[in-house]
Amino acid sequence: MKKIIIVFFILLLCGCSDYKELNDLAIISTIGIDKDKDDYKICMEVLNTNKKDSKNYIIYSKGKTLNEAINKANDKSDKKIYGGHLNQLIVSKDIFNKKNTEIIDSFIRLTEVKDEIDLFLSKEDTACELLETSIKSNKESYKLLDNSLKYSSRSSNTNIDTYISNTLKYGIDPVISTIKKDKDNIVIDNIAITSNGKIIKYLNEKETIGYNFIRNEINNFSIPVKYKDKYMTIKINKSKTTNKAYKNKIIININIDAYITEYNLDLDLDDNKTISKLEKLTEKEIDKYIKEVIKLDNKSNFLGFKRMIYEDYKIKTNDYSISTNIKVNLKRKGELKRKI
Amino acid sequence: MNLKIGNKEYSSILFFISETLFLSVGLSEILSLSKNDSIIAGIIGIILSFIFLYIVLKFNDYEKDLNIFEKIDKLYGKYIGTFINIVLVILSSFYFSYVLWSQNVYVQNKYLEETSPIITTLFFMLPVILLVRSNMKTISKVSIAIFFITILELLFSYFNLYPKIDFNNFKPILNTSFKDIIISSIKYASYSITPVIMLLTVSKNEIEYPKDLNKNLYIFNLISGIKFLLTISFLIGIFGIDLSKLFYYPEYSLMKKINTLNFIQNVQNILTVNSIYNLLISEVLSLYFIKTYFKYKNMNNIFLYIIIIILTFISINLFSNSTQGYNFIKNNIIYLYTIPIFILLIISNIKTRI
Amino acid sequence: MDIINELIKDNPDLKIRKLNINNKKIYIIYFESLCNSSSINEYILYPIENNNLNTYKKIINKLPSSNLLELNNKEDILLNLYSGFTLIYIDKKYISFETKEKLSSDITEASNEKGIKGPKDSFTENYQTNLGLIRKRIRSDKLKVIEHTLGKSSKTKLALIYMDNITNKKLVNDINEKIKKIDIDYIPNTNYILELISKKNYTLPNYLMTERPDLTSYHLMNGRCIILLENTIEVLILPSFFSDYIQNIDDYYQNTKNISITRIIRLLAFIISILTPSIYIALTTFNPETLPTSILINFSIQRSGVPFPSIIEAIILIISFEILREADARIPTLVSSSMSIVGALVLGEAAVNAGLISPIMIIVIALSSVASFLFNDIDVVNSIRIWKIIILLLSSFLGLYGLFIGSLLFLIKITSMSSFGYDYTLPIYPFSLKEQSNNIILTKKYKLNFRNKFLTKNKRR
Repeated sequence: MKKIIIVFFILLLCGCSDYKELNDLAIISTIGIDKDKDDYKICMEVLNTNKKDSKNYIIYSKGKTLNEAINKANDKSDKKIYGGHLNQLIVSKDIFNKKNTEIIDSFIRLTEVKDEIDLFLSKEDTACELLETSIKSNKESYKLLDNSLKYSSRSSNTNIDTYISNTLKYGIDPVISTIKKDKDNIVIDNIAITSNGKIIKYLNEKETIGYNFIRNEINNFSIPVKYKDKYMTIKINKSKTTNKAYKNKIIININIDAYITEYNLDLDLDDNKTISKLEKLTEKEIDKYIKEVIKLDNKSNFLGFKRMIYEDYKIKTNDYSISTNIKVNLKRKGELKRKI
Repeated sequence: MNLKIGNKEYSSILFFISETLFLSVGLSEILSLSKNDSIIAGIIGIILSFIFLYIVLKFNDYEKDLNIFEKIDKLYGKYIGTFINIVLVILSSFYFSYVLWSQNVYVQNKYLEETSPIITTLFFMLPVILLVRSNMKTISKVSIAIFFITILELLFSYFNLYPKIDFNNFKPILNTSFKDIIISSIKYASYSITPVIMLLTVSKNEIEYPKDLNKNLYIFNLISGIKFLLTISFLIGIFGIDLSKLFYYPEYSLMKKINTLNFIQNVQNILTVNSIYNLLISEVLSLYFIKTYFKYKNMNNIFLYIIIIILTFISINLFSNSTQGYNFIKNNIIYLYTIPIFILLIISNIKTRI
Repeated sequence: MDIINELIKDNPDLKIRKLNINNKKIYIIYFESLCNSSSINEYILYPIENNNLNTYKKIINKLPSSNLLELNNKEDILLNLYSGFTLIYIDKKYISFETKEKLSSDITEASNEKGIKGPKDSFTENYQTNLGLIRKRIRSDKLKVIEHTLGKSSKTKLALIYMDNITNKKLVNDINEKIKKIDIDYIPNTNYILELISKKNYTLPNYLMTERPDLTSYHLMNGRCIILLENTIEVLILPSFFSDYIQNIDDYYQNTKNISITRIIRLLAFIISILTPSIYIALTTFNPETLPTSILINFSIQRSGVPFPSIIEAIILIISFEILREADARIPTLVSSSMSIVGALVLGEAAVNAGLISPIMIIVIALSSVASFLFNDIDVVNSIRIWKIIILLLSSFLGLYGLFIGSLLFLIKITSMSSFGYDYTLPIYPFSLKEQSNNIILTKKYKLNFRNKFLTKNKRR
């Protein structure tokens, strides 16, 4: 019995083909996809693994399909291209409108690639220019944007999974966030909404805030509230949105805990009527945001109202009315009882 | 110093062999048939599987000193009994080659892409043959040890996946026709209970406290059903039904989603090791079935090893490509595997009362 | 006397003293290398001279001795001569008298098994001293000793000790029967006995060898059997299980609640020492996506410029570490400090600075080797080394899949071992909830009140 085991271990020597040394891998963290007449032109950012304090570099390639371009780049570079740590995808606007599901298909299909890849759209510049600026700037080596920029309430973040999942469902259309160049840094811009796979409009700041309110993604957000030409600032601590769907109407319930961080009005904070008046003012302010974004509901399904009715009542309808119900609780008002 | 097999350890084998057929074929089939109602189909399927298990266990209660071959010989006489035993052995060897082939496809797709399948198969046969050479006591000890490891891994992964569920993905419910739900539940029950007949190679008196054996087997069947329900709930809750029925290996894609603290990512290769344990225990049990038959007929051990080597080399090229293989199994497994065994069991149960 | 005349030709240390008392010839025969000459003078020659003991009966009744035997056949005569007894030949009969020279060391501190609290004496090479060290701890009439003499040329004494009301009789009879069948000519150490009794030999030991009498008497009171052999320090305790390597006798002398954490750390050290090198190699070369990106970049920077593949680095480091360990055991103390500096320099600084080995590999291998030294028994450390290398080879060729196969092989090996009729993985399989109070966790109630219920039926103390 033992001799057979020894023979086995000698057979082990022919099983080495999957062995990849760490130094032989070109670890890719971002891919940018552009259009070049009818083909794809891609640029890939490779992380630096040679010495400390060196910069990353870019590989360019071209091809008729995405994977052909990657394969051509693999033949030219001295290290094997490895996509297990791919974090971001930047797609430029021209190619997105035509071939968006094609691009995303290969990133879900491959086993090697991980699941939470962020998807960004580039409105004006090409993706390669954006990558080049990000390499020159002084950032941590594999992140394109700082985390705080991604998760702010004035923008939104998509990844590939949610994009595909929303495309396949009835009654909801995905959104995609855009980035742009700002001198030497990359910053996040406004959101693009799609319908039937084509980009329709870019939301401005108020509409983005309203969208975030409806999708329950507000955190750490400050609103200025105006009363008789003077301002106070309200910071929203916790906000919870529940949407209730009936057969022909949708009610948006928002429940907010708020603080006062800056106070310049003439009213006295110690009075009961002041508190309820301030709460009503805040509610009106927030309602303005939501009303702005509801106007866009007939152009695209990005708010997901049709899907809510379908989920609860299984009917596919186009006419429904939307109403809001906002409740603000002023929990903390700071240390002083009136303005200085 | 006891020579009897422990009760709970022997029942934990059921947890592993009842999950093997779900790896490649079963889960995606049930998801495509009964879309958002797969949870309801799963619950009905668990109840049906208890009924199927009851039929199997009732056969085990007859003549507690004999194993399955001796029982069949006693019931049916010499010639028909031998014929039935040989048919069972052939079904078990086909089960072994199918499981080994499906393991080849799985490992080649997920773990080692460029190594040739002969090497991976041969190395996996090392622990399999070591276990087959020993007795059922060692197999049950190994099984309870890896049961604990599996439970720990499942708890870890569910705990990390829970924040990503979106409860709106479960709606709309009760959208599929009643016929589809019933067919899904019958498929669940037949995939999970039919291999249990291979457990009957050990007679009931070789297990200590034989009165508690049936109760423990039901408990482990329930645990396996709960695991199935949890997997389906997480799949539908995170991906939505439209995306999750597109996957080839849904559990693998589910584990890919784990991303806590930006630190534990991409651990799916470690956490799906319970699929490999399922395959190991199934292969060991099917070979042990053949070995018991050879020992019952007093044949030399060399025949067993020759048959193992032949089956291993057949299974590497069993179907020409994976699509053809999975379609063949999907369409034919109930007619070829489940229905004959259950007809046999029902007729035997009726005969034991006469 | 012709037997003695034959022997005197080849053995120059066999001395014969002729006495002539009242015309009766008395011969005093002894081996000078084995007997204490001053006690011969004081207890044999002096009384015989002074009291005129010249008949057989007078000598037997009046000679001051605690151990006086009358011998009849040749084998007994030779056995007594070679054991350090003095023979007195009178009236054609032999009488033997004990005058042994002390040829073994004193009772000192245990050199291989260190403890923090508790008694520090250890067994010596003297058989009666060892038996005395046990008897003074258990002063009960239930302590039984069965004695055998083994070895055709060595004739060493062996004692099988057990407690009558606690130990399982079947186990004692089983071991006794096997000892009776031993047929060998020379037994140097207790390990020979083990290999002669058991049929199968495993890499992980299924016995316990110790040199501390407190551990021995503790296990005696728990229902195990002890085998004592002359001329050896180590004492054999049978049967023994896997959980004995996680427990230590010092645990029972310290605070009960802190000990549970110490045992968990020991179990973790066992797992770490077997699995760490193979996890490192499997994750960095076959599945780099499992590691977070920042760690991956760090490892990659460290490995730049190293000419070997990772697996060759690992094997070179393991071999050099084992050479260093073996050399450390043999080096005389005068030279040891400078050699240890050379070893640390070679393995640590110089290799990294020359660009031959990456620092992370040194950390991994050193961690796994140091963690394996947590265990007292050198057999456990050596078997961990074998398993480490097997799993490392398997995982370097087949990645994570090979790691699973390797750990499955280890699991199958442990669950199929047995120790003298008991399963090796005793409190886990067959599972018993009561026994878990002494497996990894220790509770005060168990420690004071119960014994191991698998080994004995007498469960309460």
